[in-house]
Amino acid sequence: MNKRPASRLWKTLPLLAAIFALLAWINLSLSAGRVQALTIDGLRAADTPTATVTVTPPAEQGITSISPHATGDCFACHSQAGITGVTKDGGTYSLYIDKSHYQDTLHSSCVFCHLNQKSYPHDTSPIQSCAVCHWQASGAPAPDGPPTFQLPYEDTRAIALEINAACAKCHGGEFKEIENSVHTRTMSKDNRFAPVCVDCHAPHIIKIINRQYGAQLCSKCHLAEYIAYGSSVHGAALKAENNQDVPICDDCHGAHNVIGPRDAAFRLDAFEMCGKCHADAERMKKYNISTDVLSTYLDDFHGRSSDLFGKPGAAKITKAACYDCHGVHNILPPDNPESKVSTVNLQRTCQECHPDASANFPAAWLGHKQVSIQDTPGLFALKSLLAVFVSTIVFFFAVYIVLDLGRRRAKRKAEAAAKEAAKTENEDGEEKSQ
Amino acid sequence: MTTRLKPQPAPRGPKPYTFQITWRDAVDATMRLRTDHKGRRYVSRFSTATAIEHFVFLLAFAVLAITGFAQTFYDTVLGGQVLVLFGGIDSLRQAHHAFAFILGMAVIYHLLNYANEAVVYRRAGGMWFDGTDWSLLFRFGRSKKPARFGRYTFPEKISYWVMALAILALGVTGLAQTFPILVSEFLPGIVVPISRLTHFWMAVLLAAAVLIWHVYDVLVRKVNLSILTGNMSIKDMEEDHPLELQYLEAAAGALHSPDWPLVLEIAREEDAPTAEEKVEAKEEAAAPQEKAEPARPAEGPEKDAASKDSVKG
Repeated sequence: MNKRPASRLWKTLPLLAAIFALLAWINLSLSAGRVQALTIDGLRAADTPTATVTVTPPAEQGITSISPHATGDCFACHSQAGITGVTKDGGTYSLYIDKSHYQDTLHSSCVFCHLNQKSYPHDTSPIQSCAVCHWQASGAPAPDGPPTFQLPYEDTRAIALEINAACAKCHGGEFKEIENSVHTRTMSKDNRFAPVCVDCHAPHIIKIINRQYGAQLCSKCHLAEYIAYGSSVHGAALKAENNQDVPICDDCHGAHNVIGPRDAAFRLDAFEMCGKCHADAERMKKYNISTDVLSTYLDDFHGRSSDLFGKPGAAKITKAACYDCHGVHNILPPDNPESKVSTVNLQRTCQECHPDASANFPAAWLGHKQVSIQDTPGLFALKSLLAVFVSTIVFFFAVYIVLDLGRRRAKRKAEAAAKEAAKTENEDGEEKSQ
Repeated sequence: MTTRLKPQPAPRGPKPYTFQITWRDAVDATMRLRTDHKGRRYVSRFSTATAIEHFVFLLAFAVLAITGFAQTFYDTVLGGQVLVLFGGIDSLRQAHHAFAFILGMAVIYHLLNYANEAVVYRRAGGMWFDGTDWSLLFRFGRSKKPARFGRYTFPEKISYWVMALAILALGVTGLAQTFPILVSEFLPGIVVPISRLTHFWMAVLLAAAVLIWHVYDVLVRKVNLSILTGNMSIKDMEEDHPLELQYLEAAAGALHSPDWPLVLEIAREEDAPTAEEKVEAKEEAAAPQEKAEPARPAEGPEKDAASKDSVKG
């Protein structure tokens, strides 16, 4: 009973080994990339192409003109201008890769990311794509224009999302960072168009994003904010003089862990966000901006509340943060009459939260000024007066108490002495009487 | 409940104090001089209502000071602990406002009570500074004997008026900070930062007045719990409130006088009695009935010469 299966296994083992060796060899030869020419005759004979895509690969790359079936040379096909894919919903997707861009990227191999395109024909290619190149075999007329392939994706977004998943292979840390980002949360609410890695880090030209480009990047989706930013004191300085001190989008919103501006955390940390630069004496010195803005904010009701709301037990987050008064993206210097905090606009700005604020009300805020002899002499005088008054009274308390203690000590001593004297007197008396 | 109506401050000589009293005051004085079950004499110094009022002030002060300074020094370890204890800044502020309201109500009660005592019963005013308040002279060595006080001692008057000033200022500036929109409708906006500044310094003043001055006076110098128990021993009365004791004994002694109102005169002694004098005074105090005799009915303080020192006789 047991012999038959054993002998069958024995007979099939060499066959399995051969298939395994063949697969291993194919895999190795493919991953060796475009620079390796195929040398196995048998394979070459088996896969002799009936039609090849007419490409002329650059000779300096050492790429052979042999069919992509054999070489695994992506550029054999994808450097052909106009090569296009069509998704199931009819959307077109350029399959063309500018080789010069590709060479600029920090990544070195297509198949690092294009996991489903490791082999050729690509794993997911629908069978009708063969006819694009093998048109003679299918008896179709010769195509006019660059080849167009049917893609196995619902729409072009599906391609981006599939490729994006590959980023996690190496960039696990960044993936962890984006876990709680507002973009990821938007994605989890079935919004497939929420940005993923490849939306910001353009595929095939992946580079470290510079600040000018970084500011523009978000405008792909957040155009209104970008326009407002461009008119702000920060955006204008970036555009006009490529100022590296001014914040771009991600300095406030975060790059990967993008926090939604309506999130509690964003509001709670707002003063730290702005204070990062505005309390930095070295940076502010260049522009003659006071660094007291943070300390004076934290010293006043709004700031102290905001700071305290970050501490345990706080629930309400309603107090004004920096951007509530100064504007969000359209921040202007306070001496600009257009600014939300200019003298003419201040009452209106206060009224955003305090609808009944009168014309007197803005004066309740000292405009980030410390109580000092230069900025607020009246308050400084009052503060000094109060300090002197209170200190004098407390000093009087201390002097009186010290003197009183001295008196009480003297009294106790006198009483003890009197007692002693009385005792000796009594003893004397007793002695005398005896 | 001093029944002194028209005090005659006489800082320049040992002129007597003059009290115009009614029969009701004499009854009151009689009822306040008490003896406990062991036969020890004591004086009922404060009514239950006053004790409760003081307790409300004490409680409100404690909560307001803790919640207030926790907001000022929120970035210290202790401040953070208090914040956690109160469940965060929102509930801490609610507690601060709630107890400020309670304190405000207590202040209003206090003022109404004062008005009642002064206008209806005509027996308020023990807190005003008068000729008895020269205890500093003794402390600075300018006087040989300690000053003799009536209803309230000099330290008590100081703590009352400093606390009154601080609480009034804290109340006004606190309201200005709670309702800045309303305030800035009628007053310039700078009132709000002024209030912030003043509120802090007045809080420091009040805390110092309570924790340094008042605590020294009633707990360190001598454990004086009369505001809680309402009662004070005769020994402590003789030491701290000799004039009030003299008045009470004189007024109680005059209970059976046929004519009302009476004018009592209490000697304002420059020097405290010596040990011998004290013994004398005690002997005399044992017979208040006799002592009260010299206090004769009079039409006014003009008849000073006719009156006598009720204690020394």
